[in-house]
Amino acid sequence: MSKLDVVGKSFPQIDALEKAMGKTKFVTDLALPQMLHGRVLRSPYPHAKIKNIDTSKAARLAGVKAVVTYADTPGIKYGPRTDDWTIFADDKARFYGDEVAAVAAVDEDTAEGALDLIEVEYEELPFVADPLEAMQADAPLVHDDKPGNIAAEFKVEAGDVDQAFKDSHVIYEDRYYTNQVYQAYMEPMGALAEIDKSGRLTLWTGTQIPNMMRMTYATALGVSADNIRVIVPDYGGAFGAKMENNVHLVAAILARKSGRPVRLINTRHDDFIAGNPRVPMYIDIKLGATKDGILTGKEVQVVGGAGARVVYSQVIVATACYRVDSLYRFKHVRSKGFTVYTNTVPTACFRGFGNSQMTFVLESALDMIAEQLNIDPVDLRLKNGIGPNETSVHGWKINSSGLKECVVKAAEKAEWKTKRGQKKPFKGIGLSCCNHVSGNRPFAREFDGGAGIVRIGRDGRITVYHGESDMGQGQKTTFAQIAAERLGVPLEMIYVADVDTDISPFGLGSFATRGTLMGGNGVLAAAKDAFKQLAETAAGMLEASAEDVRCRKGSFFISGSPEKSLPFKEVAAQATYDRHGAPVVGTGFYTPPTVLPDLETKYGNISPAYPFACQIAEVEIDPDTGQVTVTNFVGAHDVGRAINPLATEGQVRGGVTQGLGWTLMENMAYADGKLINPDFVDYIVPSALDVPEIKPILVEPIEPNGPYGAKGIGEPALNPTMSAITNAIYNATGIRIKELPVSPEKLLEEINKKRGQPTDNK
Amino acid sequence: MRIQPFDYWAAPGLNEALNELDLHGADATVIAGGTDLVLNMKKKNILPRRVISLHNLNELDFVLTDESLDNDSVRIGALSKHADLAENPFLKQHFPILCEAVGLIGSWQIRNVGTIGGNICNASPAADSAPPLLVLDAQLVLASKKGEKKISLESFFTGPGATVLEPDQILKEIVIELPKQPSAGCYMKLRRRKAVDVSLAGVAFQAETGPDRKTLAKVGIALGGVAPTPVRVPEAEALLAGRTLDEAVTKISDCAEIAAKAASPIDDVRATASYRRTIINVFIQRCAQNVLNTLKNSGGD
Repeated sequence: MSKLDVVGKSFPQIDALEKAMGKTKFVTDLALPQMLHGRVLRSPYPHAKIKNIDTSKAARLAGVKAVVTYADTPGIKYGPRTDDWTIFADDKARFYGDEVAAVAAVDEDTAEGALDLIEVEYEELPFVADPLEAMQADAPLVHDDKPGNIAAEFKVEAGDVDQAFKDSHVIYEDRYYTNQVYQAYMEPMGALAEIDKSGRLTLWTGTQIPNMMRMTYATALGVSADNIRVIVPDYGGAFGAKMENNVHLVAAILARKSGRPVRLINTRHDDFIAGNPRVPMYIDIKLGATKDGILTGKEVQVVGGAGARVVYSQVIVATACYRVDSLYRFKHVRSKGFTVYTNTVPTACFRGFGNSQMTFVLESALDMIAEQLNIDPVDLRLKNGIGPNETSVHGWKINSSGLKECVVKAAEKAEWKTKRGQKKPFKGIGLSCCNHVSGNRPFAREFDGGAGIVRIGRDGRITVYHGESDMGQGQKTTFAQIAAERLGVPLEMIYVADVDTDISPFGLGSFATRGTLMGGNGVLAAAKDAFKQLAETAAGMLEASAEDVRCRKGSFFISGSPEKSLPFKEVAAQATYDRHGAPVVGTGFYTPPTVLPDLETKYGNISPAYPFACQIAEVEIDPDTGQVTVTNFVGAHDVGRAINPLATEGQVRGGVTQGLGWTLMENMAYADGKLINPDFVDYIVPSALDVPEIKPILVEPIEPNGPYGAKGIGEPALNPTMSAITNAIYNATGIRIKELPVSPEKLLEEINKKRGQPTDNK
Repeated sequence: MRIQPFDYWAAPGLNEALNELDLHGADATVIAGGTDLVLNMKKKNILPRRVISLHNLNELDFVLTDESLDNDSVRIGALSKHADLAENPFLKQHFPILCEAVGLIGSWQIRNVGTIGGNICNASPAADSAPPLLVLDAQLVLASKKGEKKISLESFFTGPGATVLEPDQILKEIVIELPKQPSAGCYMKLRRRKAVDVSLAGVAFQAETGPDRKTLAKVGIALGGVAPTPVRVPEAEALLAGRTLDEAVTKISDCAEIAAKAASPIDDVRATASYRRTIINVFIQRCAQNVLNTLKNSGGD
């Protein structure tokens, strides 16, 4: 590949200045003439029959324009994966926070005041909050038609696991628990909804999946998908949460009933109790290895809590069941997963998508195996790590793998050997690896690639249209860099349009760490098409053949004679004149070489590229309080190629920080089925002082399927963090953390127990 | 989470504020920095009909050192901001314990608007300024239209969010006597992260030597967040007071045990009662060790 001008260079986000100046309009800032403000009345009980709702007093309050309940909806059952949703609770409320009614009023104060006037007669029902309890025979049923509260089961088996365990020199077996955590994005969920004269709905909302959301919502509203338009303005973060949520549909129902545009943004409290938090999981693991530390067999059982309806929990549980199998050279694996209804907030996607939960467990287990075999954890990973051009047990084709380079470089940077060798009391160092995907073939069964449109007008203004989603992670900048590189123009010449389902490609969206690879390849294909068209025009102007036309830094020239050049704008103008005013429009798409997994065996190839990572944490523990301080952190990441190293390192820092929060402090706490910390006073996320300097290392093996060699980074940035920290805690104290988050109180108890044992010399 | 409508009036000066309180005190709430009040109003814990702002009362934003005039004491205006107090050179020299504690309140933004008077009058059991002020034997000057009254901080708190302050009174200033001999203090709070958190349990330890610089003439120990109000622990103080520094060191763990027993913490989402008690014990030991070391070093030998 020739020298790159824009790709591989660090640029601030193209919209950073606007954001820093407070000029960006987020969903919460949008307004339309005649707009009303919506608020939702939510169930105060985790499980209750709704015997009657009287909205008459609320409807009479001055300024109230609509009060709606289940009776105002089409009453259709729907859902992104399972038809167990209704817009508003039907005959019963299934979780604390379930939508019961909503109000649209002339201002927020009035809407909030009206909520107090809605009279709901509830009859409390027994509830179940824990997924294991929900599986018990006598547990209350969340949905009457779902016996045993089982929402879904998943199974996968390859090789001969029982024989593998028989052939093992060591076997480690234990149960772990990963808790429910909240994404804590800056802007709560919500939407601005408007219905035009023809009845067509426009939703302005922060969503990762504008097109798929539109399909789900069309079903819910009983309309065809072309009667819904979704526009995605800038929005304040998502981390997996901003997919389907009833709050958007409530806005639509309010707009329909009032005949006016309605903006409904969750209060932070509502977002905590009815957002889309992480799937909590009980995970049993059994892992075997030979004397030499070669992994033999692995068996897991996952029980995930779906909450009161399935958002994406069943796919998340499935991912937890088997994605890690392609991190190491496993041959014999068996997994079983149960997705279980509970009377809590429905759980969904959160950076890592089940793989983060299982990575925590597997990488903890690996360190236990390493200890039993007296092998350095670094060597154990190097012995078993999957390499380039290998095929995993489930058929995944690993083209590039920088896994081993990540391990070696992270260990070097963190001075692993020295620090591990000179153990000091209550100080420790630990590592963890991970794999992930750049797109997930079975997520949408119809296709999994990406597409783009590049429009170049008379003035040379270049607009890139994509169908993914920029939630602040920098997707726009990445696409702009890819388009700029391919067209041969400076970055400033590229404008990236907001996603509008009326205009943009039908993209699947930003999830599964797929944006850069899938969307990027789509934009690259579109830019290539646009370039070809411009090159033909330039060829005429330069009197050369189109194949010889090049463009760099905004100037067209003939290959080999750059001294004679034409400005990009002149060529764009000529191309428009030649087309009698039509802009140059390049379109393109990318077909990934993936294989839809077999329904029974799950054998397939779910992604065109697989990113890898190794992270190392150092900790210090206060032996008298049990408090853990992370003192140093190294994150080595195989990103294929960093399109924008600054942004890529930012993803690593963000992921590690989020993982650190999960490990050490974040927890959605319940009492009597109610979330008792639905605010940032008691839902604690890390402050700047809790986070050490994070040292990212970018490993770039150049992925053949990636745009300019890039793979994704979003989720692998977090996946290994929890076990890197807990493995460091183990190194410091000999205490194995099997439940997140690490409670200082429980750690102190364990420390005291160990102190009480005279034989223990740790 | 919207604030209900209320009448707002910003007093131009202290006398006007006191007049207003005299007339409408029972219906009104006073706002200083507002960092607690506004949250409480949002949560509808307090629904005042009238809010009287002390925002313009610059006359109550001061740190005065009246060494020559007034019994060798320092006077801190109730509207002094946490951020200013944390960095005040005079306070840092004489009462570093207070600077440490107010420097740990909330975030920079909170410390830039929150006032020490507000922190006290809000009467949170966990208020960070309270334990240090208790161990410094702080006096409060309460003002009303009828006149001024000086009471000890210890007699001020009556329960969570409750004080002896009358509806027509405001806290005007805090008076602390300057130590006559070498003194040292230490404040530690239990929190769930390293900044921007409420105190889950707080310990203040302050001691002053006698003229011999080897004996503890005064010992103050106070706890925050582990009882309905911030409290002194006289029985723990008595164990150390009167002893030489060297003797006191040997009594630290007994002292910590007594203090931990005196605490009556609760279980909540933030921490369990038993963990809070454990931490009180640990922090008393650490604070005491730290203070005794400092005094030993300042004793010249």
